[in-house]
Amino acid sequence: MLLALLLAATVLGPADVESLTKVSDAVVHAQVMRRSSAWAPGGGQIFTTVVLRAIEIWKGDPEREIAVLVPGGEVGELSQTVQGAASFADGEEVVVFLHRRAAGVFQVERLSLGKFSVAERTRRAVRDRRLISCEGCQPSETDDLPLDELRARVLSRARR
Amino acid sequence: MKVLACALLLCALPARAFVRTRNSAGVCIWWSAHGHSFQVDALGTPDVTGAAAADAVRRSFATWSAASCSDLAFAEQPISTSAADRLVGYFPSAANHNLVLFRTRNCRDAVPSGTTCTGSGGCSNLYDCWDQGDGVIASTTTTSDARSGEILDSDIELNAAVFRFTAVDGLPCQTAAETGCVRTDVQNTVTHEAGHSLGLDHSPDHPEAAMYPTGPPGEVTKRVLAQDDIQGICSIYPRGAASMTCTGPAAGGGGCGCSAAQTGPGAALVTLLVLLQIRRRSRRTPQLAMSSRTPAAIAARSQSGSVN
Repeated sequence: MLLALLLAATVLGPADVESLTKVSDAVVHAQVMRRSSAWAPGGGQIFTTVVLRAIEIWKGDPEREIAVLVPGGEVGELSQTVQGAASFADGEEVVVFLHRRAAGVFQVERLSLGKFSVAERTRRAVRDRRLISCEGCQPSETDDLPLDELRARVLSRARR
Repeated sequence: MKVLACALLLCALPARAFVRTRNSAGVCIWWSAHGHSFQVDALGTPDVTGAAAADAVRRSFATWSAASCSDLAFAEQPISTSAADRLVGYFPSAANHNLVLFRTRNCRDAVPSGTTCTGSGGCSNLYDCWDQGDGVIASTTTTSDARSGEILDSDIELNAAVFRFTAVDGLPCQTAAETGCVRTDVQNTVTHEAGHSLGLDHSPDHPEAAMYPTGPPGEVTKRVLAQDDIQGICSIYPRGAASMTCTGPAAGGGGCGCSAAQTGPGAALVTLLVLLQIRRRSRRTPQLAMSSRTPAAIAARSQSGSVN
């Protein structure tokens, strides 16, 4: 039987670029290199490890190759989808706001609110908050902006 | 022909309506039964004394079951008192319960440094702690068959390690020391999460809906269903008919994106008729949910058990 695990989540705002930068251990412009999923110890939940290669590190000092743990994934016949968590595709160019879990292992800050996908042609960074409930988020929080602007805002906040 | 014309009219509505949740295989998720059992964990949260938190959870499910165009029912299992049962997720060879529990410890504090689960996941079950990050208030984990979309298990976790939950009627708290006010409302949060566990996604164009994705601190408006929530739930679980599936491509929103039936040739027609009936009701009482969102109205509606 194929199974799908879905997780809906409510997160705390604000989730504007500056607020996310402040609370994150690392902010990285990167490309997805590979993904692998496995049952968590004890069973019940599947997690996917997404390996990123940093294009540029905007905050923190992670290694150039970064492991990001996200809930959900596929193991054999079993498919688990995690609603509200950030999702990644092989080769995807992203900007991620990360919280450190262990040596070399991170998780995305505030689920999918902590991930922007970079469009190759337009060079715009876009995030998807459709599966997230947010208490305290502001209507002015932008989910679609030029990559250069995102970089400048992160670097400006990280320097403070 | 008349029904078809009405269905086309519904699909042509300009505002995006409710949205159904799809799994990784692209099919909508649904319970075969209309409603499911749930179990509240006994530990609760130290911020809410007595049975108030469990009562708030019960009211959340009762809110969904009160939609008269459906026949949802949520049987409560005895309160769980076993620490060993505080497990989220699906265990194929075990009895699974649709658990509602508060995590009162942060995994950052509870899990020893260097433990395997910090790198591989699963710390929440192994150490009974909140592992979604400080900024996440609640999450619902729903396990379903990826091909059919049938839901097998659904668990709701609330982050009491970071957030101070309340279960009172009142205004939003203004200071950290204030008491008797609303901080993170249990019923507001669980009503929204229960909608997800039933197969509803967010309603981005309906700020009055329980399934609207955002809300201010101290919010209680999601305790009550709006017409959009009711339309959504009744399209999946129409009274007297089988639960509805959908296998087509995701639409921009609304019930029309999930119209395929899995239970026989008449089921699609039943859904169209139910949607039509809901539409008629909504025209008769267009502001039902919007105008009933005062604390007093919420309390009265909770007692009467009627939202539609």
